[in-house]
Amino acid sequence: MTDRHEIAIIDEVRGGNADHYRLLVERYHRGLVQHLYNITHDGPSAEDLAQEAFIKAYEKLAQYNEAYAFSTWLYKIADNMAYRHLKQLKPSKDITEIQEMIPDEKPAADEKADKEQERRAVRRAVDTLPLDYRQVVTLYYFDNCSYEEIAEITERPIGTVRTWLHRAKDQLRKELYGQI
Amino acid sequence: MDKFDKRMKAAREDYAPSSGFVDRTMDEVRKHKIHRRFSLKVWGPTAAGVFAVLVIAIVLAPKPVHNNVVDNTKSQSGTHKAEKEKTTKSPTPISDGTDDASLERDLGSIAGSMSRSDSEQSEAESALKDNEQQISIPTS
Repeated sequence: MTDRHEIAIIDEVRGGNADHYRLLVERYHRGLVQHLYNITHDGPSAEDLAQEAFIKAYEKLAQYNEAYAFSTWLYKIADNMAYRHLKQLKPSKDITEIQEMIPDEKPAADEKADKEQERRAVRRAVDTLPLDYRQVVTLYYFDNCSYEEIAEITERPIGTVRTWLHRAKDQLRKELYGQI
Repeated sequence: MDKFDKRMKAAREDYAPSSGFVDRTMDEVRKHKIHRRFSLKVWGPTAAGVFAVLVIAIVLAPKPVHNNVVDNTKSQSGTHKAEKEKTTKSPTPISDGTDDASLERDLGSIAGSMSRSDSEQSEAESALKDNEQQISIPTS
């Protein structure tokens, strides 16, 4: 689907043809749910937030600026919802939930188990980052976004994105290599 | 990409949305409406707020007192009369040796020269009339 085709679909939806919105939902729902799962580590929450993001994007379609990609705009809406959702979680509950999701395990001989342990260690380290750094790291490493895309989604200059990513990497190295 | 970056990317955990996600989302989307950019729902509260601020500003604006207006007009007419008198009468000197006094003298001399030039002009005009009368030759 080309950008021009996407803009044509958006114009149709703005004109009152809501059924055309399904094409956008079908195109972006997998990536958006995955992205929100990377943030929340909870499947049902990720799906609920993704649904809310699609609804909000639909309601605000009149304000959508075609100079930016629809995916960037959608992810921006979704990120605002996701991080607001995380902030609303009670701090103690947040910590215990993360600990329950990523329990400490004894090293296993199985290669698959090693990879799973490695993955959990990285996610635990990412969860210790401040929300701004966490957002940038998630977009860069888990969603494969470029610096430009991250700058558009977070509404920050590219220089700030690079700085935050650099600082987040330093913090993650301390967290991860300190455990080994 | 260095070892750290590879390690980070490898930590990505895949999650697929449940089946029916698109249908459920579209069912919810159809219950909502697109907010128009200039809809009342969007701009109504803003317009109401601006209107309220204007009303408060008009109500609280200081109103002019009636007596002051009358006094002002009286004083204005008084000052106007005084200014008129100044141009016709010669100013009385305040005191010697001050800047104000010298200014008054200068103004007085200017007023005097203006009155002299006026009288000269009237003399010239009368002289011109006399010449015209002399020049005009009665035709026979």
